[in-house]
Amino acid sequence: MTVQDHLRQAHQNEELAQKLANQPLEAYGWAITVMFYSLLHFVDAYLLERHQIIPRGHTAIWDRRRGQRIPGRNDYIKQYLPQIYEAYKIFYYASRRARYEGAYLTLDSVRYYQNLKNNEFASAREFFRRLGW
Amino acid sequence: MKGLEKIKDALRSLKKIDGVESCFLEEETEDIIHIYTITRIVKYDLDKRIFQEYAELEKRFPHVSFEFLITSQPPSPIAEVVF
Repeated sequence: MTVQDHLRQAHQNEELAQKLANQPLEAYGWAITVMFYSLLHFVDAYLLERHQIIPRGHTAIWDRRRGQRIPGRNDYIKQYLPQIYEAYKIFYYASRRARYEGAYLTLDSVRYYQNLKNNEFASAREFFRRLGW
Repeated sequence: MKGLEKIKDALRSLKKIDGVESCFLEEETEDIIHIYTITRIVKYDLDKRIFQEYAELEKRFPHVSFEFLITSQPPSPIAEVVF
């Protein structure tokens, strides 16, 4: 994917997340997951444009053949995007819990979703907005 | 105390957080470590508190690549019990 492809995907996901959270769907788990993937594509656009990096996965892996650690996206964010690292980490975990554990199926989940949206997503999004994205 | 023991020791601070039931650690290599904190309830404030502890851990062990999770399900059987 090019930088522009990542940005298009990020914006599309951002819009979709709103629709998922609103009535009639109120699918907060999916809204959280899609917000996570919006951030992921902003991150990938940034890493590609600024550092020519294409992450191979979320987390570091050990390359047995070469005997070295291959950093994951989470490691690159820690190194190159410390401003959004804490926010991203919470989304990474929350989207996993949404997908594999059905953690946000109750009506009470709206509060969790709103907190994530208004705090973590808003702060990370603001960082990318300042780049004109 | 070896590196992994120091990490386990630091993780025990999670015990004092109301809502945290247990903690597991899985060592992929000595500098790639997965941390699983088990909670049965899903609350934003609880998760934020756990992530504060995770952030402290990362500051103390900057050379380690952590994967931090909070989950209601115990991880794979090869993960070690921290508490």
